[in-house]
Amino acid sequence: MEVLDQLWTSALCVVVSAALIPLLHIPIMRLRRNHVQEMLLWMIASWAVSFVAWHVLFLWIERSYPLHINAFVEAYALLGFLWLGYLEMMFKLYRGLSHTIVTDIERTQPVTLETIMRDFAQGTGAEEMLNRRLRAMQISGLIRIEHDRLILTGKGERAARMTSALKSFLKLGSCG
Amino acid sequence: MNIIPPLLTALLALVIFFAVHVVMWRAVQPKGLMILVAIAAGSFAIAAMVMMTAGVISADVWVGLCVYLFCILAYLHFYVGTCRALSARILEELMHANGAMTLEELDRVYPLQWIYASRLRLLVEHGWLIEESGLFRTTPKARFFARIIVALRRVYGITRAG
Repeated sequence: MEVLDQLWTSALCVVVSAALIPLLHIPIMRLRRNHVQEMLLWMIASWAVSFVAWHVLFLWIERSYPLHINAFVEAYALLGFLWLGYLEMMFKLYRGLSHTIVTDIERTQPVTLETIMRDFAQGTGAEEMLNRRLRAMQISGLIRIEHDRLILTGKGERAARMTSALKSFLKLGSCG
Repeated sequence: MNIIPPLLTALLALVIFFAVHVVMWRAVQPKGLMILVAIAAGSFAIAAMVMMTAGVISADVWVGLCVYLFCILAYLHFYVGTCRALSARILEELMHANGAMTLEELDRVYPLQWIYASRLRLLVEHGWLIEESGLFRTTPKARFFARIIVALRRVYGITRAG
């Protein structure tokens, strides 16, 4: 029963400490709103704080009992799961193409394909959307851009080979 | 209660998941994300039943579920990134062009208009948009969803999305 109690405590501590991720991340993102490239860094920092908070909470509550490894595995896996979910949500909010198309159409409907592309992301435009992706790929070291020419780096080639192999193995076709 | 039964439960569920996923994806169409989620849920249900029949207690199955959920979500990230991401497709096109191409050449093999048209087609197929004579409108489901996205973007102070 002691182990079951620890699993309950651990799950409860996960809920409390995971709530710290948006609570810390939102004010930071509002303060650093013009530094989109820092988004991932702050998310990792928020997650690290929540991870430490879980340990502090859990060890404080369970200090008089022998600690069970399953409670730790449960917490690490759940915190990782919640963080990955949060990461996905943030990515969709920032860069979700379909999500932005839906919010754009909702604002200005009915619209044609050409209007959607021209006014994409509140007037940013489809070309700028592509440029942002290319800049992000350049910052990540996947490509180099020299005189309007895109050049694949070694890291980019490894990533391309991996995705290409998965697509071919799962017969996904040339989606994207 | 030790760590082996939960890890075995998660491992068994992952083996079932990947076996069904690979066989179905190589043999059957369509290949939707929701089908993948259904396979993931079914795989864990089967693994949990097998392990509980073998005498594993429900608390161990719960810990196994936590590990399994983390692994599945990590894989879904990778899968969606491979399948849908523009960047992944651009890298592939570059690889097929011997590692270099101009923006014009990229637009010939992966046109910007096609990117948007394919997204719009998917959104129509999944009931988010309605198309009438080349004009797109949102459905009530999309309207609700759009309001949530806009509200969340406001909360986070995101002004340059997309």
